Amino acid sequence: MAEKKLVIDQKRLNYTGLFSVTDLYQLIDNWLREYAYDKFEKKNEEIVGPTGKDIILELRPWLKITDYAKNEIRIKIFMKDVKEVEVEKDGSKIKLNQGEVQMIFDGYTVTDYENRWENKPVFVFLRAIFDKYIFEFYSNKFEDVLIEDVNHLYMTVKSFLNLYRY
Amino acid sequence: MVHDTSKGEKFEGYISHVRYSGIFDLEGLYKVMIRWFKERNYFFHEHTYKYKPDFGGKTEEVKWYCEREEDDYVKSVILIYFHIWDIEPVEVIKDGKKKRLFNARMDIRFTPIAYLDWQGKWEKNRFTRWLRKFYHQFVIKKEIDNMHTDAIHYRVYKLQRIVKEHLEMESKGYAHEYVW
Repeated sequence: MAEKKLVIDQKRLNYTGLFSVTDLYQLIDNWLREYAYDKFEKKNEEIVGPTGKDIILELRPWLKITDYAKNEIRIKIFMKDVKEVEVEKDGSKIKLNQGEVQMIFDGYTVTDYENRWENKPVFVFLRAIFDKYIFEFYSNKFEDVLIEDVNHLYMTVKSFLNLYRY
Repeated sequence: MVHDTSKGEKFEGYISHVRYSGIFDLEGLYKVMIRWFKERNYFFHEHTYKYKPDFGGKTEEVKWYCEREEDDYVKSVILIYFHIWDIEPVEVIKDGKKKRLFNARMDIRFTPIAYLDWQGKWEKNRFTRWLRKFYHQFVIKKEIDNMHTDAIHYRVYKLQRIVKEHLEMESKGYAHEYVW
């Protein structure tokens, strides 16, 4: 098994009010494309109920840094009671959604994701020694990149949702 | 899972799910997906069809095996597994016409797979198998990652986009449309 290190633990974002689900989804999708992350949409669930739609999304995009290490972001999005509403803006009517959004961001660094250092116990031991004492300088750099990326994505989503307030 | 008899080395991608609960056109969904496969020259095979009439609602399980020979060495396979619970037929009037739809819970599982040496030409003995492994691990490793497995991984998202559009799901759209 590849080794995962949790770098960002449960960074949360909550929002209630007007927004567009499709635009939010596309914003994240475009961000991933722009920052060269490989897309992995693990789950996309939509439940249509009498009070509106409940939407659950789980995205796990990853960025390969080397053949040995990669950064992975886990984005969980829970939307509750999402309804379609018509809003008048600058004299024209536009369709938006109204509901609650909760987003959770986690960031991991994954090392030896190809499981090449797990065939023998000696390899596992060597990997642990190298990771801890020799590659530490490099792995810290990977972590910095991951923290920066998650924060940037978080701020992008936050400013996007804030736009609907005004 | 679908019983797979393909030869060669298997590179399985990430499994993803699309889940929907509500009223939808199941027949239309099947048609849209089958058309997508046929347009892309996939050999389409409905491997399993299970139907269980329960007390609460009906359950349906469908497994599809869709394959395409990319060239003499590479074959791409997409496995689809539908699991639909609590199926209740409902009649809806849409655009002045009566339509038979279903109210149900549905889970669609997508599994992308790339087979290398699918004809099994390098499976004759241990030496040729070792040579194939060496070739895949050290000679064309980047090519496998960047071209074969990646292409099929993103092709599945294109199919998912069609599914989401048909189900009129909110989280649709696809920024990676022109990646592959």
